[in-house]
Amino acid sequence: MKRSDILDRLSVYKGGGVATDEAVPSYQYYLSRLHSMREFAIREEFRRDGVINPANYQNHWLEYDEELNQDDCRFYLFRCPKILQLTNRDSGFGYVGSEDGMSQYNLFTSPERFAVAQGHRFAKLGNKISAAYDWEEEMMKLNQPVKRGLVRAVFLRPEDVPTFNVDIDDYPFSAKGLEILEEAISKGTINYILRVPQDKVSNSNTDADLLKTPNR
Amino acid sequence: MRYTTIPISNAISRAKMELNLEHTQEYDPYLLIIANDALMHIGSVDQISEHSAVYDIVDNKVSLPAGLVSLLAFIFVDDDGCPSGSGYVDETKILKGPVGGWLDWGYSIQANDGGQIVFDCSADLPTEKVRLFWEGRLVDKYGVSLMHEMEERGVAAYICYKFARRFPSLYDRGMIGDFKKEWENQKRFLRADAVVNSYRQNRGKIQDLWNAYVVYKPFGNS
Repeated sequence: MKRSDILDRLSVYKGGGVATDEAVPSYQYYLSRLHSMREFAIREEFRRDGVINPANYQNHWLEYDEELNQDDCRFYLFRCPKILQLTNRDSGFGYVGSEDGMSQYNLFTSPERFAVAQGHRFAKLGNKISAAYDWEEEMMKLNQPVKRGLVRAVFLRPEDVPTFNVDIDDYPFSAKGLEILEEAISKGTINYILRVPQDKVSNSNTDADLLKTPNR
Repeated sequence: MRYTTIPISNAISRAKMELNLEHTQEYDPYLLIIANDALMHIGSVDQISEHSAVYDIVDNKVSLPAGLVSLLAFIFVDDDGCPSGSGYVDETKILKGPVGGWLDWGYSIQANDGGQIVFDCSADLPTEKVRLFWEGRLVDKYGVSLMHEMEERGVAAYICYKFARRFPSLYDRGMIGDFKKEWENQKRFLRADAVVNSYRQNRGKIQDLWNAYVVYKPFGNS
């Protein structure tokens, strides 16, 4: 299902109130909320099932960029868009390893975990590549240079993945997640769609009238 | 020595399937550590064996092989692997202290915390390569233990038990108990197997010793 289809499907839910021309959300409005809504649904799906639905994954290839790296650096940096954090414990990483998907790197989902693991000899095994993800810089740090690697993960903003074409590719959002989202909206658990600001000022007290009040 | 070994990753993969962790590799370093623990507990004699390999000498230093327990001997070799001397260190436990016997040749050797052998020599070393003979744990090139196929289930059960105990909210107490029971039963079975196998492997030596003691025959002719 493409992104536009998902937005069409969700736009059915108005969240109460009467829509007027002025109140109809823009495409950007929907779009900005789609990321957070998808995040909510995937987390909820993970909480229920305990696994990540494969439909939520995207492939991102780590490309060696000479501008990012120096010859003598200890870690080699690779751009990697922000990953979705499922719980405090689990991240959205599925596979991080060689390009062919057959050989995993030693993955550490944060620099802290990497630092802790450095205390153990298994973190420094022979030629095995270690990878640590830096959430702030959105970089994957490898202890060895590679020409090309593969990250298969749930990304926070699917559009950030360079190879993702929003007009052609299916949006990485599972049908189950969409159902969870629709359920949450219809129940009022989340109500991102079309919340018209409440007008608490009586029509008889317009701004102009208020200004005229001498004691104000 | 039974030569049919499999990498420890077999047990980890199996445990991940049982623990419903196939979607992530986030815990793999931890799983690797506890898998190695399990293998140590079993105490199979096959875990220790003799090895030999050629290493480069860089700045008078040689990195210790993965899984080394004790150094048996070493010899300098040329680029083709042919011996270039006759030095050896016989049955010296390198982890128990400095190795002696090399001063006659003008060398001494020590193991330090960095996992290296340092040749402290006044003269240049004869060659740039050395062949080490050592007794070590059965490991792959990454230093990760290898194991027998029969041990897979036990190691996987131990991983499941330890992991489930670390994250009790994900697995109920009954499951944790089952994992523990499976590990204990498997461990008991594997320990027994290890003892029997150890006897089988050493049967020849035991026979030799016994015959020598009883009928006073020279070793090896029993």
